[in-house]
Formats: sequence, C-alpha cells, structure tokens
Amino acid sequence: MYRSPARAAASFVLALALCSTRATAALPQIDISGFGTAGFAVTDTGKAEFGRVQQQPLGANNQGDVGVDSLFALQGTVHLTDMLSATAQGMVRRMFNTGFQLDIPVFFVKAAVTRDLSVRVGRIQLPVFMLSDYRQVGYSSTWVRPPIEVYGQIPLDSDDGADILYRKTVGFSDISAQAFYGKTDATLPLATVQARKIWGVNADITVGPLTLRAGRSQTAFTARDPRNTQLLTAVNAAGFTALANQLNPLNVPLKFTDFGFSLDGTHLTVQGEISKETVGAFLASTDGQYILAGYRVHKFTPYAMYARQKVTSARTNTTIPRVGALLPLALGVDQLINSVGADQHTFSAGLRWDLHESVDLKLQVDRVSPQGNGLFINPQPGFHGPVTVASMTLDFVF
Amino acid sequence: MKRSSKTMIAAGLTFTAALQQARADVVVIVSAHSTITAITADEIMRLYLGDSNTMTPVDIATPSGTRREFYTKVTGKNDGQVKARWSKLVFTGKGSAPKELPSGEEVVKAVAADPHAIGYVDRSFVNMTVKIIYTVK
Repeated sequence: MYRSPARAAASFVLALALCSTRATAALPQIDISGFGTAGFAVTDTGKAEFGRVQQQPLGANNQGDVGVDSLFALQGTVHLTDMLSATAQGMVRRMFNTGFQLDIPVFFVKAAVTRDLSVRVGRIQLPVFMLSDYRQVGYSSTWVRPPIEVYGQIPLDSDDGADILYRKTVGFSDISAQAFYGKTDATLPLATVQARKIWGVNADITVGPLTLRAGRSQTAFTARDPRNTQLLTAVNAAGFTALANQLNPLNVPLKFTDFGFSLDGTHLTVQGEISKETVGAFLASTDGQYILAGYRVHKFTPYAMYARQKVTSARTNTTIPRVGALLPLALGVDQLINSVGADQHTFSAGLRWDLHESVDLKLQVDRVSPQGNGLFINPQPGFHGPVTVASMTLDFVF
Repeated sequence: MKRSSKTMIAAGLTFTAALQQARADVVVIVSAHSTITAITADEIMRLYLGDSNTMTPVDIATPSGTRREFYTKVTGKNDGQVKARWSKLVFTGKGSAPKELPSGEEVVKAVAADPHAIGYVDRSFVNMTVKIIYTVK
C-alpha cells in the first residue's frame, strides 16, 4: 500500500527519537524483532500475472518474479511503563508499487488497562481475516502465501484508529475478543481508495489444539478511478442516470463476515475459513473458502490446499440494451462490473521444511483455474486458465 | 580385584543414574509469595504457547537442555513451532514472547521478584525464594 514514504519515515524516526530520549531518562525495555521472506514465483503463462491480490500493478509470469512474496520488516516495541508501550513496524515490500518501497503498516501506542484488557491507538493491522494480523509473517504459516481467493477479497491491510483487546482464560478454554474502529486510505495502481467508518468485532476460542474464530466488519468504501468516472459520466449522459449512480463507488457500504478454524496438533495441522463480502457499486460481492491440511513429520510438513472465490452479485448489466450505438457502452459497463472479484479456484500442494529454529524453506505448486481472467493481473487477449504457479520462499523471524 | 571392579561398576551405574535423574529433573516454579500451589501440564502449555495470559512465562535462552526437555515434554512442540506461535502474537503487538534469561539462577531471580511470573529450571537451582508447582515428567 502506498503512503507518503517521507511522512512514514518521518514518523518512524520521530518514534525512534522518542524512544532514545526515554531510554536515557528511565531505561525502558526495548524489544527489537523482525521477519522477512525471500521468494521467487514463476508461472507457465506470459499473458497474465499472478499476485497476492488483484489490485497489485505487477505479478509473476513465465519470466519469474521475486516481488510477489519477498518482504522485510523490522519492529520495535518500547515499554514506556508497566502499562504503556509503543510499537512501530517498518516494512519493505512491493505490494501496490512497481518497485520495493518502505511502508509503516503498524504504529500504535498500547495501554494494558488490566491483565486481560488493553487498548491500542494508532495504526493497527486490519483484522478482518483469521490470519490478518500476521498474514505477512511467512514463518508463522504453513503456506507460502494466503490464498488470493479469500485474502484477496479485502486488499487493504491496515486501519488507522483504535481497538480494544480482551483475553480471558476460562477453565480449559482461552478466549480473545477484539473491537476496532478507524479508517484507511490507499493508492492502488489505477485508483485511490478510501475506507471510512471501518468498524468490526471478532472473537476466538482455543480449546486444546482447536481454535474457532468469527469476525464481522464493515466500512463505507470510496474508489476514485479516472477511467471509471469517464465511463459513468457517459452512462449518465446516455440517460441511464440511475445505473450510473448505482455503479458509482462513493461511500458504498462494504460488509464482511469471516468464520475460521485451525487445528494445530503434534503432527496434523488443518485450517480453513469461509468468508462473505457484500458490497455495492460496480464491485463484486464474493464468497471465499479455503481449507489447508498438513502433516508434520520432524522438520518437514507436506501440505495441500484448496481455495475458491465465487461472485454472488450480477455480472452483466441488463439496463443498457446491447444494440447499435449503445453496444460499446453496454460492453464497457460489463467490463467494469467484472473488473474486481472473479470466479476462481486453486489446488495447491507444498512442502515446508524447518531448516532452523527460526528459518523455513517452502516449495509450493498451485494449479489456478480462473473463469475468464479470474483474479489475474494485467491479462492480455488470448489469456486462459488453468495456470500453474511454482513458488519457493525462505522465511525467517528474529 | 574382582570385588573392586564390581564396586566400580555399581558406583558407575549409580553415577550414571544420578546424572540421568539430574538431567531429567526439570521443575516449574513460581514466586514463594504466589498463591498458586499446583498447575496442570495443559495450563503450563497454554501459558508457554501464548494461548493463556494469566501468568507471565519466563524462558531460558537457547541452546539449553533444560529448555528442550521442558518444551518437548510439556508442549510436544519443537523450538521452531513454538517460535512460529509467538511470532503471531509479537508481530501484531498483541503480546510479547517470554523473556529469555541466560541461566537457571537468573530464572529463579526473575520468578522470585514477580508474583505473576512462572519459570522452569533444573531442580538444583531451586531455593527458598521460589516454590515448585509442577515436576516435568
């Protein structure tokens, strides 16, 4: 996600400066940690690119690419008092840019009100999925990357605002809950997007190796794209005012519901999520599901995954007749309402090898079956699935 | 001659057994002032995997035989799996991984000083400032 690097860097430096001032005053405890991934992905097509989310400007094709998965992040937490701490994370990745850029995805002050309850104010991870909070931390997951069919539904990953975190141990179960509020801006390759009045709640319960999670979130979503504005102006001018207004992504409600489970046994590891996105304007409402199963034998975890996305909203316009002079306009609108979200499913097989206490090496092969262009980036005429993607990543934490 | 060699073998066996016992005797401790008197293996596991936050776990830095034995027997997970679990909490700012201390003495000192702390050490480090609430089997 693009945010002014100068501003981001300035706030990071300011945070470090604040830390060092405090450090001389009271010698607070400072934790420095980090994580990263060195990755390479290659596909068997030159007519489209494969990415983490559909809104990325670049992805992997048959030439291979290191930018889909590679990233490096450094995190610092300053414990100001027993109750108060400040955390900042700087991350270098390609995401919504054509080159690697520094981003500050996390920057907050946390107050531990009690042992069970804490409040964070600042920039937090947007917690809409089960693994949202650490989806960039390859080392903490079995897979090479989260499946685009589910995790691509919401491409934004941070929230400027506040949240309340609650944890409680009740008998044999551990419960945690989160409520959050905020906003986020992002500059995508072709559009600027704004999510306002983001709020949501989620809760999970862990009993033995099993964790169940449910989450619900919503926002008022705005996307500004000059090409879409031009098309909608033409639709309006042709007399289809209602349709033009209906397709305009201006403060449209976006609702997202996600249920997930994970089972982390001695050998067996299984996890899955089902998600439902409902959104207005030209953006597609979609359902997503995935399931992953792996079997850990010493340092090796072979795994298999199936993921799919299904569009639940109408994909063709029935308002503008496909005749005469109106045909190009009708086709333009069809193209627009098919530009975000798609029917697609993927079968994956992979192997995670724990090389060291904090380093793993993963190999994964995906067989991606898109309907039409699916969730592929920069599709060229003549593109068709299925597409095979081969990936290798080295993940580390420190 | 024959008799002395027998004695030596017996002494040797006793010594080996003692060594094995010493290596195997990892105990879980809390401050002597803590109100906790006993804990289950499941509760210890949840604390050390970050699932539960009712107490503050303290670790011995790697490499450590005591640490390996503790994690293998109590959580059934290796260092990598444990690290993967904690990295989920650390990189979201939701929690901090257990503080790693260089020795059993340091663990005893830290646990004695904090009524919420829990640690594991070889039994030989235990003194009056802490109490044993679980013996790793």
